[in-house]
Amino acid sequence: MKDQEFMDRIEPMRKKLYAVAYPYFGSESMAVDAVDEAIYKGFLKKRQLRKPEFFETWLVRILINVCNSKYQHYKKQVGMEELPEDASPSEIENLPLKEAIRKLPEKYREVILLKFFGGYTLAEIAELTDSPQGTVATRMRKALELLRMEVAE
Amino acid sequence: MNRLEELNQMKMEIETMPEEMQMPTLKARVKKRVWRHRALVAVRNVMITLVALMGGLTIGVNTSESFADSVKSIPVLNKLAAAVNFSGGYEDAVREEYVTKIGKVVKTKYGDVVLSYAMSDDSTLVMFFGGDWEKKHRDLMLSKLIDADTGKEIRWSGCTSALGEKEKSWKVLDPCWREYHKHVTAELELSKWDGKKGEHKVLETVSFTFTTDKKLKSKEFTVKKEFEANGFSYRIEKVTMYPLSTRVEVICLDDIGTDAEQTLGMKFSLVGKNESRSVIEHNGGTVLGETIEPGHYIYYLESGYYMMDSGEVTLCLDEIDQLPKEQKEVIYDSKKKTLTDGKGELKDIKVIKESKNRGGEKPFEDGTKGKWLTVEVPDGIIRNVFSYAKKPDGTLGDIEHWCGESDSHYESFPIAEDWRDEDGKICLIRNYPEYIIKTDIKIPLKK
Repeated sequence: MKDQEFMDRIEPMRKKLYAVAYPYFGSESMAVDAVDEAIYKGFLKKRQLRKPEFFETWLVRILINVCNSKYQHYKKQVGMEELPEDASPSEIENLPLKEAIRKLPEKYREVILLKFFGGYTLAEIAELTDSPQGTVATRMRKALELLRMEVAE
Repeated sequence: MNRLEELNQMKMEIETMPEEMQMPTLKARVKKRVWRHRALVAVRNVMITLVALMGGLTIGVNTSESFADSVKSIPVLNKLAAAVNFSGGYEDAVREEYVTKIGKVVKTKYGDVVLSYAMSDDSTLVMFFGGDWEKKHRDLMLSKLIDADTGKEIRWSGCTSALGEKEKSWKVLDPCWREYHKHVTAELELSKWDGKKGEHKVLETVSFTFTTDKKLKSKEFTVKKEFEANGFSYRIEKVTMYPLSTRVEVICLDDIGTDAEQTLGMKFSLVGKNESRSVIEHNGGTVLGETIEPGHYIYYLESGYYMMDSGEVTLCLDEIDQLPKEQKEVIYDSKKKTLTDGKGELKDIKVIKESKNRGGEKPFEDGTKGKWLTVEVPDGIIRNVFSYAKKPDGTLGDIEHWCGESDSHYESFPIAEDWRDEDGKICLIRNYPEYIIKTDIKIPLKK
């Protein structure tokens, strides 16, 4: 893939990339930085992408990895702790949704962000996270329970 | 506000993207980052290549002489190879491109003799020889130097290889001369040491005519520093710094007008900002046929010429070896088997025996009548305890040393019958100091 073609493919994805990155940090500059880094990493490794039709999936996966990595650092800086997987909804029910999402265990947070901010279907999320669709559905259900959200599938 | 309303509000917040996400700025940022990455990768690769090249050269040059020789024939790389192969003052000269690559080969029955490099200034000519003759335990000695322009023989002395003794991979011949000659013919003798006869047997003579490219000016310092040590007075008169050597002229004020050389040697060092050079050679009173007046001494040191570039250099006098004149002559009494000087019988050196032969070897090969005199020397004493014998007629006889192992307590040397006087006594001239005085005299030499 040529440099120009890579950048052309980025253009329609920008909004989605930014939308997935923003809730991780709740900061414009940090979200832009994460998107920049994901695009930069993708650009350097673009020769490794064998099937161009999976460009979006591939780049979003890079972005999630970048965001998770930066989020680990961010958590330490602000002194935040994630909930354990067997946590009960009462532990975050009084928190605003922004903060509650950030406190979710990583795999639950991922599916919430990809679904509601990235606009991906469960099948697409399964593809993006390299997990079976059933597992994604279970994680989604547990994440919604923790957040006390009722959303029509 | 319930969770769904909160969710919608969050979506609203990110509906408008910041300006930084506009395509032109995003593209510019990513390109800048990619460019920086590629530059760093390029620099890293260059560094890795350089480190690998230097490492390979260092190992190769120091483990294989043939590799070193082949590398030195490559422009640019020869400087890298030289930097890891030369040392001290010579390395400075190489760094300043003062060395001239010669690369001349003379074929002999005993292997090729290669004159690889040469450099010269007003005080010294240095020739670096290589070749496979060395592997056959042959030796190479300088016999004659000729000015190739005039055809006249050049006076030289002090070809001791002392200045080049660190250059293990070369045979270095470094005669001192009185002035710079650009075009030179060097005649050399390829010889073999004959252990039985105790002399070099010349196998073949070889000759090289070559040109040294560049001559730099010397730097002179009039010092006139007077000091006293152990009751003796001295004056460091002058220091002349050449690119290849440093000449220090010292006067022992107590020796002026006498024949007694009461100072056997001095040890100097040159200390610069970050490095130092130590004394290499003491040429005593016989430098290049110069008439050096009694009491005057000339010392040659490894050069500190290039250290002057980074500021001042300090000449340090570290040690003085003295022998008072009343102890210079030692009388060997062959009847009593004693050694006595002006202060009485020697306590550190004892006579063991006189013998007609030593392991089947006669003391003199030319038929001179004589014997071997064996003495016991204490641990750590300087070898060759006597240099001459003063004959009854006042002339001097050379004492050739046939010492045993260097760690032996015994030293044997031949004494001729005609060295004895009527009472059977022989006057020997002592060659080792009575006093070794450590000093801390520092003389700054300013540019």
